[in-house]
Amino acid sequence: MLARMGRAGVVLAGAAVSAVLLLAACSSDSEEPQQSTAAQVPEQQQEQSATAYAAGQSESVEQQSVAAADEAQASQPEATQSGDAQQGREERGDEERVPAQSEDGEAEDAEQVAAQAGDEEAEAEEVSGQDEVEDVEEEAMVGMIIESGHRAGLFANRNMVGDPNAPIVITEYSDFL
Amino acid sequence: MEELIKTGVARYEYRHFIIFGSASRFAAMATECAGDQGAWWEFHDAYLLEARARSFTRGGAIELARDEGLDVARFTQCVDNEEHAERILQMQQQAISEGVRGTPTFRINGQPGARSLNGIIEQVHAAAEAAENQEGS
Repeated sequence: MLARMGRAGVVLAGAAVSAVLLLAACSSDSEEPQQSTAAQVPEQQQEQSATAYAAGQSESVEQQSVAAADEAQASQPEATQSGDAQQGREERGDEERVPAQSEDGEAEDAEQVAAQAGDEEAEAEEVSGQDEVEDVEEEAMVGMIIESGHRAGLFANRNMVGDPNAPIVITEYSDFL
Repeated sequence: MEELIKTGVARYEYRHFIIFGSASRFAAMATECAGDQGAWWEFHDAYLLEARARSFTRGGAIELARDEGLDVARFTQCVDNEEHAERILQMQQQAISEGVRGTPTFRINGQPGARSLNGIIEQVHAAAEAAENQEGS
């Protein structure tokens, strides 16, 4: 930056600009890094806020909004997962499996919740409605094709793996310890 | 077992049945929180197959979430708020109502399953044959 300012100063001198103006130009240009530093401050604050949020500190209503925004962003990875899984589904001819799952009552619940959320007027009720929608979104996002490991290519929905329409259901009740 | 699942003959469901107290309950909740982000089976394997003992603590579970590339803040919030406590409790109550008393307990289409893997595979094949015979008749 300083080298650029020096070159700019030579140009200005060639144009018969006084040394005073040159110095003034240099001093004004020298503010740029300060401005950029100042511009970095909000980013640092954001990072600190994110760190505090991660540390599990008390959550304000604004933070709940942030959490809601995070939920919305979280649905994007779902699309990515679905997109990545698309290839596996195409290979296995499983196109209908995910839609088949959406035919469950959960999908109806999702519509009901969405309708309810639209009707809510009180702010507190809106927050509650958002939570319900988030729950439904979470339920919807877990159905996917496993991409790696010994279950690669299998459809999984949280604690279930395999074809949702398989005639035989093997249920294991277990404890991790 | 995997072949039965991969060929669409059977699907497998894991249900929490907490018998070893708070650490088991925490692991179940952490797994459900991971499930919110599509990593249910990664946590299942870490707890059950890899025996990552540290994962039974809050810090260890968060570390595992980070390793799996999850949204750690969201995961931590889920675990701290015990967001899936009700789901796990319901699983437990349903299991008890179905006669489950210990782990591991298997059911094949709701019927008592064998304790050995080979026994379960035999039962699944028998159930599949029975289903085919019903369709044929």
